[in-house]
Amino acid sequence: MWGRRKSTEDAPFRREALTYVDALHGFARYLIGTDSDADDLVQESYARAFAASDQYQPDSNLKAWLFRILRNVFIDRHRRDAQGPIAPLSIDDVDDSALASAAHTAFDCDGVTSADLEAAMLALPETSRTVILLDLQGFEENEAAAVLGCAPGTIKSRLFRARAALRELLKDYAPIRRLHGL
Amino acid sequence: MDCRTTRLLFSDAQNGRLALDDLQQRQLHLRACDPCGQAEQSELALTRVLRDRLPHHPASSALKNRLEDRWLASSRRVSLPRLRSLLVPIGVVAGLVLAMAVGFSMGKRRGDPVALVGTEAVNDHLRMLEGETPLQVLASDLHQVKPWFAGKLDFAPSITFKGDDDYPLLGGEVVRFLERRVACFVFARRLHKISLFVVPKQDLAGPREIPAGLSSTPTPSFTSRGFSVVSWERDEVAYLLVSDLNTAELLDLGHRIQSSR
Repeated sequence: MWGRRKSTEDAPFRREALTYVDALHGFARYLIGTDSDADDLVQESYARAFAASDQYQPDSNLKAWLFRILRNVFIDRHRRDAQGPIAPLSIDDVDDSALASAAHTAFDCDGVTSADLEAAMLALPETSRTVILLDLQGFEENEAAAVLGCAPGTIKSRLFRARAALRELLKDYAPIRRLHGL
Repeated sequence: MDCRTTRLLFSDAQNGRLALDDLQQRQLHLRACDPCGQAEQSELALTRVLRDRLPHHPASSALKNRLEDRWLASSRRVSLPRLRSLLVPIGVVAGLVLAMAVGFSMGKRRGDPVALVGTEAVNDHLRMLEGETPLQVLASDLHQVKPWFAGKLDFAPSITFKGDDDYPLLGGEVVRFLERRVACFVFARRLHKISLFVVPKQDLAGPREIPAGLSSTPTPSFTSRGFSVVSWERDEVAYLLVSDLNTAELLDLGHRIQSSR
């Protein structure tokens, strides 16, 4: 979706790109798990983005372009470190009927803390985590699809399943804490 | 509309991306289908919990500084006239170092009114930085931001500085500051965000006996966790600038705001 960039005025481009550093760092942190690794990921992503700035089309979504680069950097690192494929369990392989029935169960969010939520997010397969984070960032379907490298038409179902999986995981946290009076 | 489509369209409905016809059909289905109505409540609860409680992990100041040094270094070269203009606030900072050292050490004492205001300002700035939602009003035009506060506060926040190339205005918010609703204008300097809290001075006095002696010119008044507060007063209104920006530049912005009429 991103074509060749017409303008090569790098300083304003860089300045604008760097305004997304907080959002990119948050995304990186949920991909890779630690602040120091997220710092590295963000720095490498900016280096790659600025090296390829002529490929960015000014009227497209710069933030989505940067998110896509960051995720690609993450995937490259993952492969380089021989940690295997990114998503051993593809979100498309998840049993749809099971997740649909999970959606029928009322979700009690009262006992869910920030720590629970972060732990549950990190326990999700990477593609599920990513589609939820992209939705929270307000990306359109085609932008989220470009970041994930999938067809725009699959984003709705991916998001639906990812959120159902997250709810299922969160159900395991709050009751345990209530049981222990925490 | 069937159950599966109704559920798949949750995010589109929440984000205002559904055509009116689809939206109406979805609403009709939700009213008629109890399981989907329950699923909708679960989705709404999950969205709330994600927006309110998911930690955001913004970039550290150290990372921002590294990125600025690497990628914006050339645009940060200071011209001679600009350097001269910076020398004034730098001189002010140098002159105030002793006073600050005394003030800050006193300010950090528990219960100290300066520390109370400073800590509140830093905490509110952090809440703004870590907020999951964009600023309540997102605009670089002061003429859009100031009217937005009308009806939301019981005073009119009086600033005339519209932002400039060095310190662009990003927007504004109504925030709770010492249990009172006040105006917060947000400016930027490179990658740093700067909060300007505009507070009626009377709200800083009274039972808390808070800084009786606010200066009439921007003055560094507090530091905590790498954030600095510069404050001053004019026409019975207190102004507090907060950022992780260096104090010289924060003072520079303070002078621009104060001298703008």
